[in-house]
Amino acid sequence: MTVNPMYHQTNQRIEEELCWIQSAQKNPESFGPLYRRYHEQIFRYIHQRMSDEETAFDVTSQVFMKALNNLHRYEFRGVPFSSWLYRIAKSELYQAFRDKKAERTVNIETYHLFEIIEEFDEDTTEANKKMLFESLSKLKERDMQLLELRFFEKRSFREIGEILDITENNAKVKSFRALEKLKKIFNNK
Amino acid sequence: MEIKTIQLDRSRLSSEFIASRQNFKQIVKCCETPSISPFKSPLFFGAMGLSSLSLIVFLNLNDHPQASKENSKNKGVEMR
Repeated sequence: MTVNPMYHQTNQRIEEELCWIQSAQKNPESFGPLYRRYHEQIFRYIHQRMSDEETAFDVTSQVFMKALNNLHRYEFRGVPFSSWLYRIAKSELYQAFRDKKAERTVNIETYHLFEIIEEFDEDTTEANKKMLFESLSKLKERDMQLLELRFFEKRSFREIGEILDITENNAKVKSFRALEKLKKIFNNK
Repeated sequence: MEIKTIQLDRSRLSSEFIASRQNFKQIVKCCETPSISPFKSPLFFGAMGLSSLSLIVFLNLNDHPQASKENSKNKGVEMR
C-alpha cells in the first residue's frame, strides 16, 4: 500500500518549522508560513469527515485560531508540527459533532473499497463492493477512524499514532484489528 | 459518535479553491490579546493602592497630634 508522502518531512523542514514556531510565539504574524503550509492538509482532514464544505472551512479556521492561541504551550517533541495541529483538529471536529454543527460522514472512493476487498483476498466485483459498503456502516467509530486514516487517507502508522496519541506499534495493531473486524462483518454477510 | 452517512466518490475540491479560502488576517485578528479593562489592569490597582495608602498615612499623621492633645487633657482631668 502506498503511503501519503506529504507527512514525511526532512529534518531540515522540521527545523525550519521550529524556527517559525519560536518566531510566532513572540509575534502572531509570523504564524503565516505555518498556516499556509498546513491549511489544505487540515481542511482535507476535516472535510473528509463531514459533508458540509462551509462548516469544514469554519472548523479549519477554529483549529488555527486555537493553535495560535495555545502556541506558547507547544513543546517540540521531534515530530512534525502537523501532528499537534491534527490533534487540535480532531478535538475541534468532535466538538462540532457534539454541538450538532456537522454530521459525522465517511467519504470513500470506489478504489479504496476495491483495495480492501483485495486485502480480504476476494474478487473485486460490484456485489462485493456493495457488501463492503454495507459492512463499513456497521463498524464502530474508533475502528472506522483507524481504517479512514490507514486505508482511505494512506497515512503511515507513525502518523496515525501521532494523530491518535498512541504508539506507532499500537497504531499498527489497532489498524489490523479494525480491518479484521470489518472482514468478519463482511464474511458474515 | 454515530456515523451518519457514508459517501462514495464525492468530488474532490481543488487545492486552488482551498487556498483561495485561506484567511490568515482573520486568524491573527481573533487571536490578538484583548485589551484589558482599565479596572482590571495592574496599573489601576497600583495607583489605587498607592493613593489609599497615602490617604491612610495622611489621615494618621493629621489625627495623631489632636489625639495626643486630647489624651493629655484627659489625663490632666483625671489627675485633678
